[in-house]
Amino acid sequence: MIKAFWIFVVGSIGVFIGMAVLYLAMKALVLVLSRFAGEENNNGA
Amino acid sequence: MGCKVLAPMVGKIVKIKVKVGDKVEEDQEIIVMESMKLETSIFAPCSGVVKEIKVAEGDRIEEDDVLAIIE
Amino acid sequence: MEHNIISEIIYSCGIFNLSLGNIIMWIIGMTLIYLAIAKKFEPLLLLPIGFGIIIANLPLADLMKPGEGLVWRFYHYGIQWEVIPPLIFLGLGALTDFGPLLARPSLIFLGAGAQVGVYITFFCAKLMGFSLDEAAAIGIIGGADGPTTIYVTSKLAPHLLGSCAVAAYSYMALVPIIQPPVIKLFTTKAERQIVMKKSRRVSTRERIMFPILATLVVILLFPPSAPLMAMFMLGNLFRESGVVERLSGAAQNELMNIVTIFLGVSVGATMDAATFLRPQSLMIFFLGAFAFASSTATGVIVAKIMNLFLKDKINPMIGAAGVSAVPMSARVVHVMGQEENKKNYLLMHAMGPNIAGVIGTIIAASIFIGVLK
Repeated sequence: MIKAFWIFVVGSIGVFIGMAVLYLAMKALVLVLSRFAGEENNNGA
Repeated sequence: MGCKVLAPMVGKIVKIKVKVGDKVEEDQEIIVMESMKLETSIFAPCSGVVKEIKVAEGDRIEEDDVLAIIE
Repeated sequence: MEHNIISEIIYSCGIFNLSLGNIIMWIIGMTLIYLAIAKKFEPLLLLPIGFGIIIANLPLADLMKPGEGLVWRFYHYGIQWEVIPPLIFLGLGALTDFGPLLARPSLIFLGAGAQVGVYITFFCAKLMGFSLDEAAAIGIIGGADGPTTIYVTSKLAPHLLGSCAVAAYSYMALVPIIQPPVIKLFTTKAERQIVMKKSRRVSTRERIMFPILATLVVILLFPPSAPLMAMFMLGNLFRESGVVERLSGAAQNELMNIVTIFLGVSVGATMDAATFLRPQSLMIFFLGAFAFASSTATGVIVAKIMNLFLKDKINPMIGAAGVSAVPMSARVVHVMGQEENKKNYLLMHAMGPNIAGVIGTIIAASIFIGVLK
C-alpha cells in the first residue's frame, strides 16, 4: 500500500518533470530556429 | 462600417447559409464549417448586408481566411 | 464398432462442451458488435473485439490454443511480442498535427495534469484489492489511449487485457457523456466563457524538429517509452517532412488498418469465459469510468492552477482535453465552449492538450513499466 502511494506521488511528479523538460526543449528549439532565421534574413538583406 | 467574416480555425466549408445581398443581424449563423470531423457554426460579427462571399461549399480554409464581407 | 465411431464424432463436436459461460460471452461479444454497428461506438476496434470474443468461446475450436491456434499466433506475435501497439503509434504519429501544441507549449502541462487521474485510479484499484501490476493496467485506462492501454496491460497484467481494452475503447466512445458533468463540476461559468488568445503560426522547421527533439528527450528520460515513442515520432516525422508521402500514407492507412484488424481480433479472443467472467471484470468497468472522470478533473484543475500565473488565461475546460481521446475530448470541450459563448472556438486550442496527453500517457506508462518490471 505504501508502495502504491509512493508510485502515485513519484509517478505524478515524474510525468510533470518529463513534460517540463520537453517544454524547455521546445522553447529552446524556437529560440534556436529564430536565431537561424534572423541570421539568414540579415545575410539576405 | 461593415466587417469581414474570418475563419476561426482550419477546416472545410460545409454549408453557406446566406447569399450576396441578404440582410444579416449580428450573431446570425452565416456559415457552417467542419474541423476534426466536428461541425461548427460561424456567426456574423456585425449587422448589415452581405456584399461578397469568398468561399464555396467544400473549400478548405485556413485560420483567419476572409470568408465573407458584410457592409 | 459403428457406435464407437459415431459417438466419437458426436463428442468431438463443440456443442457438448459448451458451458453457460461460453454462451454469456457470446452475448457480450454480440453486444459489442451491436454497439459498434448500430451506435457507432469505436467500430474499428469493438467490431473485431466483439467477434474475437465469440470465436474464442467456441469449445474445441482451439483458436487460442497456445502454439497452434490461428488467433493465438496473431496474439503471440502481435501483442505478446509487443509489435502491434508500436505500429499503431506509427500510424497515429503520421495522423497527428502537433501544431496546436507547438503554438503554445505551456499546454503540455495539461497533458501531464490529466495523467494524475491515472495515478489516482491506480491507487484506488490497489485499495480495491488488485495487485500493483493489475492496478497499473487499470489506471492507464484513464490515459484514454487504446494502444498504450494494450501495451501496458499485455506487459503487466495480460489476464486483464480484454477487460481493460474493452473498457478503454467503450469509455472513449462515451467521452461526450462522461466529461461534461465533470468539467462543469470543477469550473465556474466565468471560467468556461474565457476566450483564448489566438495562437501563433508554427514554422515548418519547428514541426520537423519537434519529433526528433521529443524522441531524444522522452526516451532518454524514460527508456521504457522507447517502442511507443520512437514509432509515434517516426510517424510524425514522415508526416511533417513532406517528402515521404507514400510512407506517411501507408502508415496512416494500410498499415494502421491491417494492424488494427489483428489487434481487435486478438484482444477479443483473450476474453474466454473463464478469464473474463469474474467480479474483477465488473470492478474494472467501474474503475475505468472513474479513471476517465478523474483524469478529466485533474486536467481541468491543473489548467485552473496555471491560470493563477498566466496573463493570457487558458479556458480551463481544455484541461479536460488532456484525456487523450483524440479528437473526441477536444470536440467535447469545443461544443461546451460554444454553449457558453457562440463565438468561442476552442477546438484548436483544445487539440494542444489533447495530443500532449498522448505523450503524457506514454510517459505514465513507462513509469509504471520501469517501476514494476
